[in-house]
Amino acid sequence: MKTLRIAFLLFCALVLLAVPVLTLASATAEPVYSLYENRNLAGRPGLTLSGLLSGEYFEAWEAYLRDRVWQRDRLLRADAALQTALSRPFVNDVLVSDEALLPYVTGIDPGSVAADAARMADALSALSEQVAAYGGVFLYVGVPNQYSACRAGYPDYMDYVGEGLDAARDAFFAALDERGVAWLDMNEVFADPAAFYFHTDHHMDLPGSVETCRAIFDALRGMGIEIPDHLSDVTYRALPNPFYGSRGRKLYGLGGMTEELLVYDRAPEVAYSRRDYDGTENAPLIALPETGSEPVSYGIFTGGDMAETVITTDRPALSSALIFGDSYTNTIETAFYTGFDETRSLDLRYYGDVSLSDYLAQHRPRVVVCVRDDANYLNFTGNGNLHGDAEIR
Amino acid sequence: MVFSSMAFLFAFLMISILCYFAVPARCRSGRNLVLLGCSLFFYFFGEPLGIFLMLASICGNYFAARLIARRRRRLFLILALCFNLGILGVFKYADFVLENCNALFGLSLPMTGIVMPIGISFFTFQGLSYVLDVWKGTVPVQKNLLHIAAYISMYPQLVAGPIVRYETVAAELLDRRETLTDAAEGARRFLYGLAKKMLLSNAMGEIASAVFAEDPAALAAPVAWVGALAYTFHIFFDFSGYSDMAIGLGRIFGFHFLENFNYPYIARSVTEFWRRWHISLSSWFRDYVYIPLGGSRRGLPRQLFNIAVVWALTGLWHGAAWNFVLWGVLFAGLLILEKCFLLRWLERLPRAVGHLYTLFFVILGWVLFNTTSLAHTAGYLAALFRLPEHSRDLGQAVYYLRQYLPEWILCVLFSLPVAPWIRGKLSGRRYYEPLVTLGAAALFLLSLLSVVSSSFNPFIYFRF
Repeated sequence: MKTLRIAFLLFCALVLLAVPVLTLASATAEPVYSLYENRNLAGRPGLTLSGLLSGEYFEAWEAYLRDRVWQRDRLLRADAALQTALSRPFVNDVLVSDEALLPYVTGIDPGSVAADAARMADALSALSEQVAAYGGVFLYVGVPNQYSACRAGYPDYMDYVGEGLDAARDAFFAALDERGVAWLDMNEVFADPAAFYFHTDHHMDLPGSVETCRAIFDALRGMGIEIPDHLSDVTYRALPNPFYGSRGRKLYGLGGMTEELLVYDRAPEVAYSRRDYDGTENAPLIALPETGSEPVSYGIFTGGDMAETVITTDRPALSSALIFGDSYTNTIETAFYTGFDETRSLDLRYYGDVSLSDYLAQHRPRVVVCVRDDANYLNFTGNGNLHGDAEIR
Repeated sequence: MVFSSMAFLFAFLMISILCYFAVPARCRSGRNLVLLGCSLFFYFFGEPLGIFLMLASICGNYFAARLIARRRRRLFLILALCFNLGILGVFKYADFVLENCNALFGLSLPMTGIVMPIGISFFTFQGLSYVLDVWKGTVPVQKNLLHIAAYISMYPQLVAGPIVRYETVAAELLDRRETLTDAAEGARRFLYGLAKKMLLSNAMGEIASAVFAEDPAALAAPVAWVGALAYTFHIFFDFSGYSDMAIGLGRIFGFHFLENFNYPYIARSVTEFWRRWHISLSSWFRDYVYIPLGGSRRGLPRQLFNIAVVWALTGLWHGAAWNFVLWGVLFAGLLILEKCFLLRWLERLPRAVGHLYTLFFVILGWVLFNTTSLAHTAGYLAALFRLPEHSRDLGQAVYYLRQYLPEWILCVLFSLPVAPWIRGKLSGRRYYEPLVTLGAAALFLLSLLSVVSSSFNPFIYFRF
């Protein structure tokens, strides 16, 4: 018994001593980026009197030790394996957070759908009327959210997520119809939406976005806009690089997962010049990695979320266009610009120089397209804040 | 610093143990000095400025007890009470009082903005118990400030209890033996407590946090009950886990603290529940408030009044908010009813009725406890009885049950006295001790995995 107790205490002491010693020996003082977690890990805290007295210094040490603990990635993988072994339900073979394998989705409150749909449709109707007043056309494009595209993978008891999305979509498009606002629902176009979605990322992939762009062009042609076809013979290839998706949270368990990121093999052949909000000139629409081994993310498409991007193709016979929306537009833009002389892209989550209404008055794009995913049709923030002032981001 | 933090487990714990045992056992004051130093650093780590308040509390109670022992004048006792209650009043209740004065009398008195120091309720009550015990003559006054400081600030139970009375550890402060058996069993107890916290409490806490954060008007009964049940397990495994860790650490240093929990959710009445839940607090109020008020010796009406006073204070002890007062009043009402007739009725009914009745009101009590305002409380209570209208109402509840199924099963299992039952069956066998020790080691590794990988690691009783 005595031997057992000594052995037990020695085991505890060994673990408690070895981990900090190995951690301090292996961890650098500077913050480092964790590919596995897709985030920056904490750096060693610096001592200041104010930090010491406020408790921030010690909190920072806690964060440092947690982030930089010896063999952290292995420990996270072990935890992922354990969580998986506990038979918790999850979707898409992805563990998307540290708390749960299948992310909890609140769903849409059915009680507020009708009123919210009417309110959002009113806002879009006003926008559409403004565009029509100077001779332009407005098209609202709905794309499936990953929850929506992968709904078949969710367990039955989460049917409420899809039911809420359906209720919101039905009410919303009915309200747009009542107000004469043109819309396109990619849920009706895609035969199998899940085929166009990443596993490690909540966005559509490039082929899905090109399909969306084709559908947008068809709809716009139906509205009298002349758009040349440069998208009929694009082809794709998979990058050899590891793709970790764009979620800013932990993606545990992805070590054994290989998901390919498709880019153009034969891209639409339309020369362009590009200017971004930050002053960058002629950045490529797809920033290919320099080597075949560095990890890539969804951010390679148009450089990620940009407040404003202007792409010109020097074809004055064609129309000008404005496309605005969340990050779903990033991949769409790589094909969308081929249909227009000038394409402006806004992300109202980041753009706040002037209101959307003033922006339209200033540039008068012939075509205005709003792209939103179906979980955000009735979301009045960000790109749903259509009549927000310049302060709203 | 919480026991389940990286800083505690991988830095503070071993350093404090090594420093402590580096001092020879015969040098008791030296070991107490190390313990005091470690405790002060432990508190400084979590509450850098609050340490001055704790030092003031230590000195105030030390000198008050010396004066009381020397002069035996009630004035010094009253001054000591005012000192301790004044600390609580200013640092815990000032803004609550001001807020209510403003609301009641239409005033606009400015708030103090004082942030309550961690563990103030625990170390103040420990200081009070020392002074009161000296006044009652149940313990001799301690002339060495070091020992009193080590008692009040002792880090294993400093910030979250159990409330250790001076009389419990007075002898051990001066003369204790740290043994291999105590160290091994203390370490085992600590690891079991850590596992309760990291593997069960946190999972339940995630559910409870998510459900209680929702607009109660949009909640229906299934989700609301799942949230309330999750909080019921969360608070039990959080607090009892922390008590296990405190008791285990105490044993490593040679102290034997009293038990704080005894499977409260198997109680058949609210009276029994409070004999099993946070025993150190309920016995503190019994001995220092209820009995001095007359207890049950002055007739039933006075006894009922005493119960009401004790429970209003118990509610307020937990927090400066009306929902805590309501929580206290709920239990006061139930205890009074049980004292009058309900307990006798329950004894005649099948056992299951008593269990269900107790659990129902305990869970309702936790709803009062965990809601953030009276409006939130009312909304959540209404949600508990709102029939589901949409598939979402049931789907959310199933989601939380299914996603955390292993934890739910373990929570139910370990709320029951399974461990004593197993101990009773196997304790004589040769493999029992190795098995239990191996279990503790395995739980240790699992808990460490959770400490590293999870960012959700709250501790409920820190705010008291």
